[in-house]
Formats: sequence, structure tokens, C-alpha cells
Amino acid sequence: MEQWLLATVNGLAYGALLFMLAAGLSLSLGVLRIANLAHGTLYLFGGYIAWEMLRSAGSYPAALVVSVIAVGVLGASLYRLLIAQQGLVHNELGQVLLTVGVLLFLDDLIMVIWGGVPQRIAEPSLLARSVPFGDLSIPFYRLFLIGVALAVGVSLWLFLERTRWGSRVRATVDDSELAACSGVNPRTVHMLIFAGGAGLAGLGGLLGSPVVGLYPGADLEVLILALVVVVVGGMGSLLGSAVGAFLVGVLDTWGKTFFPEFGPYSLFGLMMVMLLLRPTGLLGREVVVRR
Amino acid sequence: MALVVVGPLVDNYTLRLVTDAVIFALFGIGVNLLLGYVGLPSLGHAAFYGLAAYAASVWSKEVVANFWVATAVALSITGGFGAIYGALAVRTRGVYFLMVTLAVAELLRAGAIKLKDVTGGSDGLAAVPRPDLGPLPWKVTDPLAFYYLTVAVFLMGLVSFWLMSRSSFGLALKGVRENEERMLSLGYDAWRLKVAAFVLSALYTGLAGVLHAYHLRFVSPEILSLLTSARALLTAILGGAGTVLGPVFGAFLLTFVEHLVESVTERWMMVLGLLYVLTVLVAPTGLGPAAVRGVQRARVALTRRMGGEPVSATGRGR
Amino acid sequence: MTPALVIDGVEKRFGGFAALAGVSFQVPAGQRRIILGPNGAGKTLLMDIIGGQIRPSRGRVIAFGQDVTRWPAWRRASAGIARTFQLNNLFPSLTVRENLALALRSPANRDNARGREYSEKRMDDLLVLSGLGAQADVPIRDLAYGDQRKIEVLLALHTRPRLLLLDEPTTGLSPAECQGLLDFLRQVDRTVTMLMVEHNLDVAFRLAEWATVLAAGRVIADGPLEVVRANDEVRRLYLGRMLGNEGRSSTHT
Repeated sequence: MEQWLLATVNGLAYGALLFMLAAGLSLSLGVLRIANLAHGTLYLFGGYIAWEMLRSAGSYPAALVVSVIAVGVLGASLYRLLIAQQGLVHNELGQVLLTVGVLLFLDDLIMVIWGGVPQRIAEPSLLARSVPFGDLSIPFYRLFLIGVALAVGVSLWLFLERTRWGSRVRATVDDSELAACSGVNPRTVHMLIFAGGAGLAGLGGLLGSPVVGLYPGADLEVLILALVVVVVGGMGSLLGSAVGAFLVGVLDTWGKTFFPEFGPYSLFGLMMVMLLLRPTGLLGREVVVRR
Repeated sequence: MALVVVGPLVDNYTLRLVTDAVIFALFGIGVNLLLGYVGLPSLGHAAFYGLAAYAASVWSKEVVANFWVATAVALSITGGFGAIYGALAVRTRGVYFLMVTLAVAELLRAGAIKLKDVTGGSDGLAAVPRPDLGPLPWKVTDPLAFYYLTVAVFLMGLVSFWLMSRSSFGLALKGVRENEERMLSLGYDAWRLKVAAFVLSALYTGLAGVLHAYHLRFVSPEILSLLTSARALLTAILGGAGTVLGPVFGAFLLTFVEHLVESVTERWMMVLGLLYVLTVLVAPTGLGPAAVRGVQRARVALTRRMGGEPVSATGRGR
Repeated sequence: MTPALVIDGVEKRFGGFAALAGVSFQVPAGQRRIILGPNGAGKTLLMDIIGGQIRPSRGRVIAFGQDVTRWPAWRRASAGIARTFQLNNLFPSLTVRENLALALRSPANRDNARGREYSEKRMDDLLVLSGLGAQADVPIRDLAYGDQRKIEVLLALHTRPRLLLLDEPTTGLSPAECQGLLDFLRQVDRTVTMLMVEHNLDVAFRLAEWATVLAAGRVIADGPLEVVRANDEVRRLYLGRMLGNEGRSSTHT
């Protein structure tokens, strides 16, 4: 029994992390129609920046702020690059080429600056304890992750539903031409969405490194995980990313804990099942054309 | 034809490079089938490449190193896998399809790392034996002979692809790419066409994978990575998707550019990344079409310069 | 004689809204029928349901005695159904010849004995006849709109259908082109039943023999053209201006 509980908590924590990593990707795919293959690399970059901040400034909050902002700005610039060429909106290949180029560039940059040494950001001492629960002790950090994801989710919801800028975002997502008529600049909103998603990924870099780690190649693994979440949860929907993320996190952790021989196949299987039953994902906005 | 002549003329090192390029070109043809002719951009073709490479290697090492048998086995496995995975994947399109194919390839890669007993894990499989050409009397133990084998296989692939593109099937695929709804209305089962294309594409790519295994005589999980698939997709983008020779041109171009950059700087990844970004900003639909447009513009300018009236591409002077 | 088409109690709901609220009628083989009705009456929706692009919430579609209600769009061609679309739905980067070849080589044609006799030579003949012979090898997207519209109809005809659905075929055509299309359609032989939605009543009335009038998702009149034209309720629907023998018919879209 306790094994299940621990595995479930770990799964939820993993899901929390996946949510932060996948939300940006889901939105950029579903709303902006942009395939950003460098999304995982944003995670890695954010993580390394945070590590650097911690090493030099020693302050966890500072590291958090700097890494999120830095990656957010990087995301915004990437967006400007992506839409610089008008033809890229429906040119998936151009997007692939461009974002792979960015991926290679950033990966090598990370090599140059930080030497490709795998790093691990330790949990801040404040959070590195365990909470007793019956016979178990649950690592507090995991609960913290779940809490952060919930906080992020709720603040995003509040932002979207209760603020003026939030309503602009929602309007643009629903119908960008119409929104433009009422004075909203869709480009700005899109850039905001993209940068926001990037910032979240960067946040994931800092928070997630005790769990996932920072090393060359982590960006691709994170990208894949985020993709599976998007396939399961559906593109373009924050709620979908959340649901998908927690589902994937829990199922994957259960799989690894109780059926370790199956390894990555639980993810593979889940994805195949989704494709079979609901190609648009659980809550996807994208309409799969099937006549 | 140039390929055949070049062989004996260059040294072994360059020969390896050209062999690489030819194998890569075959890979590109496979990707292009799906991309240029059906309109489905796959980011996970490394899955077929790697699967076939592993299958051929394992078979050659454990069972018998006969080229024909190993190839048949590898292609059957790859084709079967392609059929199952394709049946599901072609229900999506565009960006979604891109992502699904990528995920599948990466999951295969994780599997390759995990199944240590079969695949050698992250260390990979080494010492793949030289292919034995079965009933045929020739030996391919030296680079030149292997090169000829590669070229022969490639040419077969190229010709068969060309024939396919001119057939009713090829036309139907283009129809699906242009307007799937109308194809359905005309009576074509688009899903079945897409799956067929998917499997064919897997077979071409798998064939390239087999050659890869015999060429390098080493396979590792890296072969299944995003970068492998992206590179293959690039040959189509660079050379122009939807044409038969486009990816071939792209493959050669890419191989030599990469080689050049690698030998000049250690930071080749960064330089290549920048190059890709610049290419998209300058010529988003690929270098092939851009080159064609450039040539057309030059012709118009030249004609005007000589006092004549430029005739439009359709010969109609509109 | 089996009717070409039987529409039986077809309904289509979107949420709580009934776009089609129980439509029933029969089309005998060989007839030329027009579906009339104001915008929003559900005409194109009905086309989509017959053509297989959309499934009805209720009811049946029976073509030549076969219940095709559950059939996917691509299978309907083998029941002999073909349709044209309101907006040109062609293959832009392929040439005229390639477009038509696609229709000709459709799997639906393979089982169709008449399809097999119809060789590509005849296709070339037809091209010349319709004035497009010179442009056979030009990509569709380079063609003038009027020519594209012609191809739109030719494409559907090349699958040798027994039931041809024409969705506003004269959209965007000049009066001369409309006449050309009319003459062309008049020549199509009686083995092809035609069902059309058309706002250009000039053309429609010279081609159709029978009219079914839809309003707000229901059939409000169904009979020979002359009878329907004289029907008071129908005239009221069109505010009397469009159907009168004395007035010029308008071509509002």
C-alpha cells in the first residue's frame, strides 16, 4: 500500500514538472501552430543558468527569477525569429529547420560555457526534508513541486479569466482576426504566450533538475516527454496539458516502479492508445480533419 | 553515372565520404516519399533507419552474414513496424504528425538503450561482419567494392522511386497531398494510400539503414535520435521536396558542408545551427526552389538586357 | 424503377439547433432536380450529408437502393455519387490532365464497367470540346477562375457518376460562362441524375424539371418546377421578386 502511495506522490510530482515543461509546447503547437523543437533546450538552458546563478550568487530566489526571465526573453527573441519569415506559419519544415538550428546552436553554446558537465541543482535546504505519513516519509520537495504546479496553474487561470490582458489572450486564441479588430495586436499576444511557455520551461529547469538533471541530451528527453504529454492531453489547452501531464507522470512512475522491465514502453503504449481512440488528445483544440 | 566513375579515382577517405552521401541520399528518398509526395513531414524516420540497421546487424552477427537474407529480415521487420505504427500515425497531420513521429523514434531509442542483451545498450553493437553476397561470387571486403554495392542499391532505389512517382499510385499520393477532401470525394481511400506510402517510405529508409550498418559496421542508439531524422528531413528541405532528385542533391550538399565545417572548427554544431537558421530566413521553401527562382530571375533580366520581351514560365507571355 | 436517391427523415442537430429538422423526398433516376431555399435553409448541409462529408443525426440516405448513410465519403463514389463544391476544390499544383486523370483512375471507376471503356483518349476529346484542350498541361492554379470552375464540374463527371450533386456550379461565372455550363450540363445523358443547389435561377430553371424547396431545415414544397414556382408560400419566401415570370431573376449569393 505504502509503495503505491509513494509512487503516486512521485508520479504527481513528476507530472507537476511535466506540466511546466509541456504547457508552453502545447500552447505553441495548438494555438500558434509553431513546432518548437528547441523547447527542451530552453529547459536545459534555464537550468544551467540557474545553476550558474546559484554558484555565483548563492541565492535560490535570485536564481529562480533570473533563469525564468532569461529564458522568457530568449523565447521572445526566438518567436521574433520564427515569424520574421511570413512563410513560416504553415511551413512546418521551415520551423523544423529553424528550431533544430537553434537547438544545435544552444546545445553547443551550453558546451562552450559549461563544458557539458552534468550538473545537479541540490534542493534548497529549506525544502530538503521529509514529511512523515504513517510508516512512510515523503520527500517534501516532491510535495513542493506539486504545490508549485498547482500555484502556477491557478495563477494562469486567474490571469486568463480575471485580468484584461488575460481576456486579450483568450480572445486572440479563439479568433485572432476578430481580436485584432478590437484593438488587440495578435503578434504581441502570441509573443507573450510563446515567451510565457518558454519561461515556464526555464522554471522547470531550475525546479526539475533535482529530479531530471542537467546534462547534454536532457533537452531531447524533455522534449519527448513534453510531446507525449501533448499527444495525451491535447494541443492548445492548458487544462489538457495539466491533465495529460499528471496522467503521464503517474502512469510512467507506476510503470517504472512496478514493472521496470517495461521501461519506456508504458509511455509508448499510452501514446498509441491515445492515437487510436482520440487522435486530438483528451482536451485538444486542434481539429483532426477526418471526413 | 558520375558516381560510378568517381569510385576508383579517389582515395579511401573520400570514398567513405561519398559512400556516406549515397546512403544518406537513399535515406532522403525515403523521407521525401512521405514528405514531398504525400505531404506528411516525419521527424522520426530514424526509427526505420535504426530499426533496420539494428536488425541487419543482429542478424548478421548472430545468425548468418548473408546480405540478401539480412536485408530481407531487416526490411520485413521495418515494414511490419511501419504498417502498424503508420496505421495509427496517419490519422494525424501537420505539426501533430511531426511530433508523433518524433516521439516514436525517441521511444525506440530508449528501448535500444534498455534492451542491452540484444542491442548492446548505449555501447552499441560493434564488429558487424562484412556482408556476404550469397550466391553471387563477388566480395565486398574493400571500400571500393562496398561502394559499388552501395551505388547499385541506391540506383535501384532511385529508379524504382522514379517509376513509382510516375505511376497512378504516385499521382494518387500527390492528390492526397494537394487536396485530401477531394480525393475522398472522388472515391479514394486516403487512409489506405497514406499507410501504403508510409510502409514504402519505411522500406526505402530501412534499406539505407542496412547499408549504414554494413558501412560503419557499428550501430548505436544514437542512430535513432532526433538529429538523425532532422538531418534526413533537411536533405528534402535543402534539395526541394516533391522532386525525385531533390533529396539526392540535398544529401550530397549536406554531407559535404558538414564535413567541411567539421574539419574547420570544433564548434561545428554551432556553425551548422546558424547555417540552418540562416537558410530558413533566406529561403524558407528550400534551396532547390530558391535556386530555380534565381535562375528564372536571371533569365528575365538577361532577356531584358538584350532588348527582348521576357516570356513567362508557361511560355504564354502573359 | 429504383429511385436514384431517397432521403428519409434526415435530421442534423448542432447542439440544440436543428439545421435539418426532418427532410424526406425521393429523386427518380434520370431527373434533373433543384433544391431551392433561402440562405441558411440547409441546402449545402444536405449536400454534405448526401456526399458523405457530414453524418446526419438521424435518418437515412439511400442511393440506388443502397443505404449509404453510414458510408464514409470515399465509399460513396462506388455507389455512383459524385459532387462538386461551392468553392473550387481542385488539385492546385497538378495539371489539368493530372486532375482529370485522378478522377478517371479512381478506384470507384474500376468496378464501374462504363469507367473502363472511358479511356484517356476520350478525356482528351472532352477537354478540347470544353475549350480547355490548349491548357491540358497547365497547373490548375494558373487557370482563370471560370476555367477552374469548369474543371470542378468535369472532375466530378470523370468518375462516371450516376448521381451528380452540383453545389452552386455557376458561382463566380460570367453570364456567357453560365450559358456555356448550362449547355454542357444539358448534354449529359439521362443515366446521370442531377441534384443541384443553385442561386442563379435563370440557369436552374432551364435545366431543372423538378424542385424541392427547403426553409429552416424543412421541405415546404416539392413538385414539378412550374407548380413550385406558382406556389404562394414559396413566392412569399422569395418575396415574390425572384420567381415571377415577369421579373428578372437575381443572382444573390
